[in-house]
Amino acid sequence: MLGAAAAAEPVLRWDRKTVEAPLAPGEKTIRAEFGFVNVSPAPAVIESVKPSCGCTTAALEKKVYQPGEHGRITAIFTPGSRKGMQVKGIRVAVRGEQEPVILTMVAHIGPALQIDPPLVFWRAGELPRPKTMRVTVPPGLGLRVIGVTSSDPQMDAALEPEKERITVTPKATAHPVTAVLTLHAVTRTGEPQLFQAYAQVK
Amino acid sequence: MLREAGGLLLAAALLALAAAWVLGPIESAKAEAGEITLADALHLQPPPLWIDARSPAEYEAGHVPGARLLNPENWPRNVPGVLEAWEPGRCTVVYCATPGGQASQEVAERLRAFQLGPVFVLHGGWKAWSHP
Repeated sequence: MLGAAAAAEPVLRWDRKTVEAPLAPGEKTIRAEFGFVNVSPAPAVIESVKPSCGCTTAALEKKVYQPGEHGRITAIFTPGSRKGMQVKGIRVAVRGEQEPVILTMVAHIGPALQIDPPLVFWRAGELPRPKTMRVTVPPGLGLRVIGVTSSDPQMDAALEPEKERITVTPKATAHPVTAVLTLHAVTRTGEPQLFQAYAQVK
Repeated sequence: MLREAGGLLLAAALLALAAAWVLGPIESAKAEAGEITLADALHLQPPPLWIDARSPAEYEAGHVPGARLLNPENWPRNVPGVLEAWEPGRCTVVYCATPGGQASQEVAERLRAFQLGPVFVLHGGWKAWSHP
């Protein structure tokens, strides 16, 4: 009876069991880390870590963790030609826990964030009037744009989140400027994501 | 209202004239498909901005003179250089390793979103240039 009660207690406490992330532009893989701590009074033994798909790997630093010791599983999902929303599971069997722990990666493959147009342009000598870019996040993705920065101080960029747009204004159009605008976003599970747009005077 | 409509018609006519001037030597069917032959590309005036959508190793081994390296993998790093190389009124021609290849099609599609002018894929890809 005591043994059964003890077995029902979790051995590991996880920082999170689900990570949601889009595939960043230019990247071929999505990486997620699942941190944990051994909350039991005895050494914890991770017996197996099994991804649900050959497209996902899950790496564990070691198998035995002392009481209070922290560890992590690093999962890497390679979507290949997969499109849309992808859910990948990782089964973690811990000695002394009756059920395996299921860690989940939710990945959105495709344009996670649409910036339209991706480039705003002024001809040299044109009036430096503000131009706007519309920022659209696919419904259900849970991505939140929190800011925008410009690589060139000659090009101002301001985010208007309530209007889902960025306003870009050159300080002047007398000289050529090529600025990278970096949009800072966070996923529902707190992962930071960066997206790029461009502004140019030529 | 009539004045606005007239203005729009005039703008459309000017746009068509500009396109005809830039795309004069290009066969219209290919231009509509977004492809261009090497012979047509070499007749473009001003000369096009060439984009090499192959891998960096393939680019280093040989490329169209003046071509900029840009593919989906190095997109964020290399786009600023491409924008700096582009000039108003200049067409862009993209090629990759394989004829009708996915990389050149993807790069061309992304560049078209910039609305900087006509963007073509080189018919036959890199081989059209290296083994004409």
